[in-house]
Amino acid sequence: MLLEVEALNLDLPTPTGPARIVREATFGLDLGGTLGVVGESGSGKTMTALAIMGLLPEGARISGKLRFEGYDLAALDEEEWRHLRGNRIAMIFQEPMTALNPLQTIGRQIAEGMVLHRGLSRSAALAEAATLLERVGLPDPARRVRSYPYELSGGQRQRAMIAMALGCAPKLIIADEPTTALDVTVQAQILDLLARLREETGMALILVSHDLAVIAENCERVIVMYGGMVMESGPTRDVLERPAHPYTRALLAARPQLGATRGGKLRTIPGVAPPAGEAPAGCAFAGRCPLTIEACAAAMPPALALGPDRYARCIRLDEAERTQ
Amino acid sequence: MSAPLLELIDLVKVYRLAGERLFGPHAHVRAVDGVDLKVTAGRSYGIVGESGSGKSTLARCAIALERPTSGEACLMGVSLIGASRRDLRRMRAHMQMIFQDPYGSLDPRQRVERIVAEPLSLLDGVSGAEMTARVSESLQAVGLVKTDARKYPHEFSGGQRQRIAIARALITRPKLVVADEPVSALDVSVQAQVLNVMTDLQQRAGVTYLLISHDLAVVEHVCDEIAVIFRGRFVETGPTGILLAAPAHPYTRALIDAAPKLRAERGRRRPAPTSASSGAGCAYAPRCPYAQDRCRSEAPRLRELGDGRRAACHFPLPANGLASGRATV
Repeated sequence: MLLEVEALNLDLPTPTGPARIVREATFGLDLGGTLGVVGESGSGKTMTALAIMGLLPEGARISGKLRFEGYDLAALDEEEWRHLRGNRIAMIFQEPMTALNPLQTIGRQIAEGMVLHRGLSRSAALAEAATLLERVGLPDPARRVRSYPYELSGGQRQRAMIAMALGCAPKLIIADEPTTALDVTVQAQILDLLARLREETGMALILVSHDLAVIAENCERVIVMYGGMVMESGPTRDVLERPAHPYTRALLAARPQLGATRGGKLRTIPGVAPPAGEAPAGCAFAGRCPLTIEACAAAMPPALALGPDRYARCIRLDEAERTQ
Repeated sequence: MSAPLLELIDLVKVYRLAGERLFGPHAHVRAVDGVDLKVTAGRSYGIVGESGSGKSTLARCAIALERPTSGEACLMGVSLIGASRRDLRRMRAHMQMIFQDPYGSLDPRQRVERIVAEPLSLLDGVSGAEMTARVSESLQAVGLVKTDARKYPHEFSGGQRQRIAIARALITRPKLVVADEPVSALDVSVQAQVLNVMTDLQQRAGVTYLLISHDLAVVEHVCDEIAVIFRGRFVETGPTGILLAAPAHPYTRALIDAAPKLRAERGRRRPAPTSASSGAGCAYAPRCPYAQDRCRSEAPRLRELGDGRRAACHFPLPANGLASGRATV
């Protein structure tokens, strides 16, 4: 297994003491596999991704198992992280305009990682940057190497970010909402590009998104996060076609669907999600869930196996099944 | 026949871009390039397009937040273009706007009651007592409670703030509400709450929406009619159901295909990357998989296709062509 996360807890410091942002998260990813992490704002999905990338904010504490290619990520020092990050694991962010350095050419930014990790000379790395830009479908790569980020469109910038991530042939790419800021037609192109590159290189992909449909189209497996918990996990198709957890069910039912009756009532989830780190001791969805009983908020529900590689954290699964 | 609720006639908005040199020549961009639009009371209208298509500019011109370069915009038969400031202020009672960002559009230093009452306070002859009554009526209509009036925006979640924005838009009992991406900044579960409030008002208060969105499912949920806009021009218009089930314009088809689906077969035809802009011909021709010589030399005009649809395409897609039909969401 390429990546193994087991009972991961993540605390962030706040003025009132540490807040638990991720609770008991367990999931894994095979070599070359694709995993979707879906959740609403405050679900802990981005923090989970940053933990794998070793980019947590100052003062963050993690416990639990976090292994990548046999390394214990929780125990790495900054020197070891530098070897891993950008080299074996690369990340693509939502907003390429803020993730890219506005004062450096695209080519130099792509070359930097290759100079650092692969020991290439400056000129060799720049030449390879042009090749990478061609691979990600940027027109006129020889000229684009000398472009600054502001000279590119949003979709082109995201392609440049992907080229940068590819520079050291990583085993794992983490893409955090890579297409959220893009138009649907550009989004489709970027997601197709990622799928093509994955086929060519055999790298694994973690796709973090709020959009179930984006994950449905691009990931074999999915974990559904809410309030810092992995509520449900399994093969994407199974989870979307036969959601077990009341939260997954509610999330699917709340989407307006093409072809549905105009003006029909959408199923809503009453109340609001707890702010990150302020979930109750038990299930984070307790209270908003229509099936809440006293025991829900009292203790963390166990992850129940529903089939091979398929889990849900809920003590009311039978009831959920019955009432749907 | 009475005048349409909103009518735009050959509306054009040209922006001057910053020149390369201080006194050098300036480039111009035709953000909205000759749009005709009729919104009938009771039939909400959706405008779908990508960023830079001119959809927001169109919305702002439609409600006189911006002055079009040429063309006409009429609310219930009265021109908004030639109206005096005083008349315009009175007419604004009939048309309100909801913006995308529920954080940026509410003044953080004002209490909700003042925010919500603002459009009403601009009208003459509304007593204080009536103001208070209307504020709580408006808050109730969007599912908030009377006591929320005393709170400040920061005390609310994103979805609640958007409902405050809707309450503010509703307080003058407008006939037309222009909503520019009202739910795209919201989480899915919250989006459903706001959409329910919107459709509820449609049915109970007779509000007609001009809804601007990039999300086809949201537009389909709220609107009876749709226009698809590309580079400042409508490429296809018509009743929502027909237009989405059997789009005639290749761009509409591409938008529908590009939208991610929960249950979809991978490897369907994807939209081609944008290439250089066209000269005289159809603006979509460089991206269009069906483009022919005529498309590159002659710009198509919107024309009737029967069944209430109009498309600006020399070679519209057949209604039952593309056997794949529409993928389910």
